[in-house]
Amino acid sequence: MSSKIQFIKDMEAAAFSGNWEKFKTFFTNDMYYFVGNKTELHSLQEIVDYLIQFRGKELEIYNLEFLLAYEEENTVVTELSVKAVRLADKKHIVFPTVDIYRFKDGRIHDWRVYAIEPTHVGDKSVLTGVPKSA
Amino acid sequence: MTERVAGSMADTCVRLFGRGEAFDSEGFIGFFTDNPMYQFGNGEPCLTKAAIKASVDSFFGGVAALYHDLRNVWEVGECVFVEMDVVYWRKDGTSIKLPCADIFRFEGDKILELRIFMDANPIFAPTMAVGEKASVMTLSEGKQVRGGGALRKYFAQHKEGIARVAAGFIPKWHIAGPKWPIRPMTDILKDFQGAIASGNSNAAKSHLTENAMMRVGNRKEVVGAQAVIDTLQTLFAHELRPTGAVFTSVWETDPKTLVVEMTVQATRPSKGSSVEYPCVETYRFEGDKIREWRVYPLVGTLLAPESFAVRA
Repeated sequence: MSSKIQFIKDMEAAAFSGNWEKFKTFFTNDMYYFVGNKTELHSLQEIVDYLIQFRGKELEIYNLEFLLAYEEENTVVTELSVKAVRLADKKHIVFPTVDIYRFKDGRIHDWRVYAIEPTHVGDKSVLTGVPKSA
Repeated sequence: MTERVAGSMADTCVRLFGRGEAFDSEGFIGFFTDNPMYQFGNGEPCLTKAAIKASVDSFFGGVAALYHDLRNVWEVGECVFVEMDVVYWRKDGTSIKLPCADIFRFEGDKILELRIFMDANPIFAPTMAVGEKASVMTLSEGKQVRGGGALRKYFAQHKEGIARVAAGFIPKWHIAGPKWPIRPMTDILKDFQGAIASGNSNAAKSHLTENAMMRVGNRKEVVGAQAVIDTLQTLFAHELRPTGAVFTSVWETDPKTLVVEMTVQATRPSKGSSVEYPCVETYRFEGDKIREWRVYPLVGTLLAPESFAVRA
């Protein structure tokens, strides 16, 4: 398996196991993150806090089926079918997503999750885009 | 030593491989001198053009398609050294990628010798295992380098390659095996989007395979070229009509898959309001047509009320 895609899988494994200290080591401190058009975050601790509450209150993801996994020097693109339990109604759901990871100095610097699930998507775009400092 | 333009021998090698990929044995032997030496692996050398033709015809008859994925081409004196993987698609639909090195020796503009260093046995003995990393693209620590797509560029961009395709010398990988597009995928996409934007549904449909699939957001897949066009027309008339898009990134993730990250501008026909949203689209091609189109728009309008339920 290619190195950056394995890097992403290791990061996901750290997140799924709740090992947040290890999880943080995969990112730059000034990273940019969005999920759908409802969540946009600008720091590593914000992301950890978000993921903890997200896993506890919104979606419990339990399976990722890869349709595509592509990497080049500073980018990884994955196209996935995600299976999860929506905690609000306890339904098992499946939804498509594309995740795009951009790297800086060997760590993830920019992570955009095009998750197509109502949990993640509002009726209008609220994203402001990459901060100028990024 | 013959005076020649740097790169001309390498270009000849690419053109020769192009003949091979089109299964054009007559064109293939036209590159050789009248007293050639052609040897594939440890096979008996072919010492006449007729013998080379018989050899390559026999080989072409055994596979559905082949592709030369070049990593390096070096010109040294009268010689050219080529380092590449060669991908073969068998007639049973399976494929195999084999590492290969070629040595060419030139006499003037013609090829005097071609020695092909490859173990071709796994092509015709599918039970022979070949490891995933048995490739000239494998680097230390198992990292991989990507080939530059020189042969695909030959058919899409080289004046001679374009002319030969127009004359019917189509690479077999376009019509059999992987059915890769010849035209650049971004060009096909531009034409498709242009046809959609201008409302020319027949032109748009011509860029889709008969069994094309489109999935917008988490809605159900729509299958069939006409169904895709009908769905788009309904969507544009009643829900959301794109008016523009700014591409932020485009990736060719493999020879038949294109991923585009963009910001889309659109209007909502019901309200007359404008909206801008981020979107990723993935396109998978078959020949020069779109076979699969998945849209990942981050806008509520294009979402089904909820994701599909599955059993645990």
